[in-house]
Amino acid sequence: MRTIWLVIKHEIYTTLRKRSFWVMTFIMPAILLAFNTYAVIQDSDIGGSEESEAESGPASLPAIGLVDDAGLLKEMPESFPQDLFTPFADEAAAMSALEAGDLEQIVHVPADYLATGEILVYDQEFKLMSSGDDMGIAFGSSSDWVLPYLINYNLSGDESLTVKLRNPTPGSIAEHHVVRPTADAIEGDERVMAEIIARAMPYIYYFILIISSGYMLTSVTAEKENRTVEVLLLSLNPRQLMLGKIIGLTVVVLVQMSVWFAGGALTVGQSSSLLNISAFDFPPGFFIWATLFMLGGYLLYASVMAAVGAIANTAREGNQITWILILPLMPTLMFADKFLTEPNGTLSMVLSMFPFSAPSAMVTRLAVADVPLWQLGVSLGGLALTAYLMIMLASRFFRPHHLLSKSKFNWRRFAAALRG
Amino acid sequence: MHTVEVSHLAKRFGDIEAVVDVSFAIEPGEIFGMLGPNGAGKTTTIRMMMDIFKPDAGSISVLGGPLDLPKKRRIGYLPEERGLYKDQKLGATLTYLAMLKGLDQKTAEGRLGQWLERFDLTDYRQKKVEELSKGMQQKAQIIATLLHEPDLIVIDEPFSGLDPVNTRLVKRIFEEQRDAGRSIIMSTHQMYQVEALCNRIVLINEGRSVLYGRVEEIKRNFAGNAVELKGQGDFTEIPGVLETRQLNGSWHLALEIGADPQDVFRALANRDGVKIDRFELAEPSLDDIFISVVQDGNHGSEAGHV
Repeated sequence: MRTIWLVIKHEIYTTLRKRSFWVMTFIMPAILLAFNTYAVIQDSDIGGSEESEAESGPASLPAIGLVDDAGLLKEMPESFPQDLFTPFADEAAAMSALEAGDLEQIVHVPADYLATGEILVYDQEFKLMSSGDDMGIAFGSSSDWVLPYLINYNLSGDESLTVKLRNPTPGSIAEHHVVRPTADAIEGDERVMAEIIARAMPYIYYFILIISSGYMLTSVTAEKENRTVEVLLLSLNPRQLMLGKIIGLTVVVLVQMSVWFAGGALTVGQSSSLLNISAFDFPPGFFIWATLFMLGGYLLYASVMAAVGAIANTAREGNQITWILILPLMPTLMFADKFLTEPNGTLSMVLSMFPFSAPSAMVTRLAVADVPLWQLGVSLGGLALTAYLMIMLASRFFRPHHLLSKSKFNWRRFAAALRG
Repeated sequence: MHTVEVSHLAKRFGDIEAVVDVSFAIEPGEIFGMLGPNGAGKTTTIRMMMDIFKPDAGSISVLGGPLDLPKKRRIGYLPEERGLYKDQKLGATLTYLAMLKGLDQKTAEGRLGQWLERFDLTDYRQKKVEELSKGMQQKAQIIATLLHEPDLIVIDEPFSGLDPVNTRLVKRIFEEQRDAGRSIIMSTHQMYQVEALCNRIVLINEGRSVLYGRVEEIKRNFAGNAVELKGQGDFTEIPGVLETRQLNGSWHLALEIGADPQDVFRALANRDGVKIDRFELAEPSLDDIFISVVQDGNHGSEAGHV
């Protein structure tokens, strides 16, 4: 027991002393925050806050030419900038200005607009992701196009009526109850955050699991490369060595995870405040479940890495083959949308119950929908059991003839070690 | 009681017979030399002794019986392939290795201070191992082997990378360890070091112990297997001679096992252009014996066993 404790302390001490560990620990949330800040700033440049736009209109305005053949946009509400559009008598004149680069967009309201409801829009460049009301000037972070609002205003001549037409059922909150959707899609502002989380979570978990379990691979192969393993084997048995490494590195990973989770929470908070949407409500106990699944996933993949490290000659050689063993994490990345649209659908459920994909799949699912408690329990239990079996299996690789071997990795050796 | 007793060890890796039949015993308070050409099976034998590999056949008794973890901690092992954590500080690395051997931190650090001073490494205690020269790393490795005051010391090429001053220091330390009653098994290719330090040796060739016993007795048994001569002419490619080398103006010939020095003399006398001023039997060095036995294959086991 004392020997294992010494290995645990040694792993913690040596890993926490590495500059690369702290760089990795802080760089990931920093990148996430920077990326998020950039995305949010970009987003707010288009609109601005929804509350302020009612008073002052959109903040940053592109140069938009207006050809109003229907004669519907004669006045602008007081809260809107009066020079929102540059009027043109006809489309040809506006087109010349667009071609000259004086305009970014032309909005043409044809004479028969009231009959057809059709508006023509010309842009300087093709916008891959834009369609319908995503184009032109929108209200703040929402994708509501301002043009119908302005037409309604001109048709009604009353801004308060226009506001009601845009939002017919306003209300102040008397009581706030959180009832999370089950299989139904989440609506409104929360959906924006749900989309961010559903897309980001599998990647975050993928990288966390790769990086954290990678410590195990590095630790094992380092002792093979610097030839300390032969001396160590005369002080402890291979299983003690493996156990000490796993426990020691678990502590290291917990330190790293707490920094990453704090960074993640900060990112979500930042997104909520900058986008001016209500803070995303994680289900009760989300972070506890997320930590448990992360730990289970770490133990599972760390034992896989330990096995690879024991028979690979160098960390580089080990890294070349681990990508095959982490393939089970990929479907969650590939089908991230399914977790948003059908969080309790068959695919989401299967991936969140399969131990090798459960760590990222279940947490992604949990972030966007209510998951029955029994499914959480079964999934976590399955993950814990599989992690335990994988540790037992990895100990078959942790034998002197593998640890001291100089032979290159090959799958035949891997299979032979697996058979024990 | 023998410190180590190895009897008819055998070990096979797939199709390769690494060790076929190796036997020897080591007494307390002796330095025992384990010799053999590369690939002879020395390292595999040592690893079986250290319980790193399990033998396919034969028996091993270390420190009075089968090797268990408490006994393993009474062994100091300097393996053929050196191992220290390169990116860690010297002091912390050596303390960790000593604590794995059962020392508490205070004792380990106290003893380490003394050893570092003796090896002139005190100033490097807080340096990373990778910042040390090869010779310094070798000294650090020897400290790691001795820090926990083992009863059995197994050292593979202990003088590798050391300058003459440090070689002398290390030799003195090994002699001190021996005088303190500890057993030392030394595997090396430096025959003059074996001659200077070892009481007894085993020579392993092609997985078999082919020569085993006291150094003086072995040399006595091989007397007549070396010739020293002075003269002019071509002394190479003589029938019955395994190796010819020039030493201080004389020629030293290592003979094949069973070769008669008189036949060698006759062969030389019949050569054109050869003038012999002096021809005498020489006491063979371990180097001669090593070459004779290894090049002659298994004949040595009959001729050399004591």
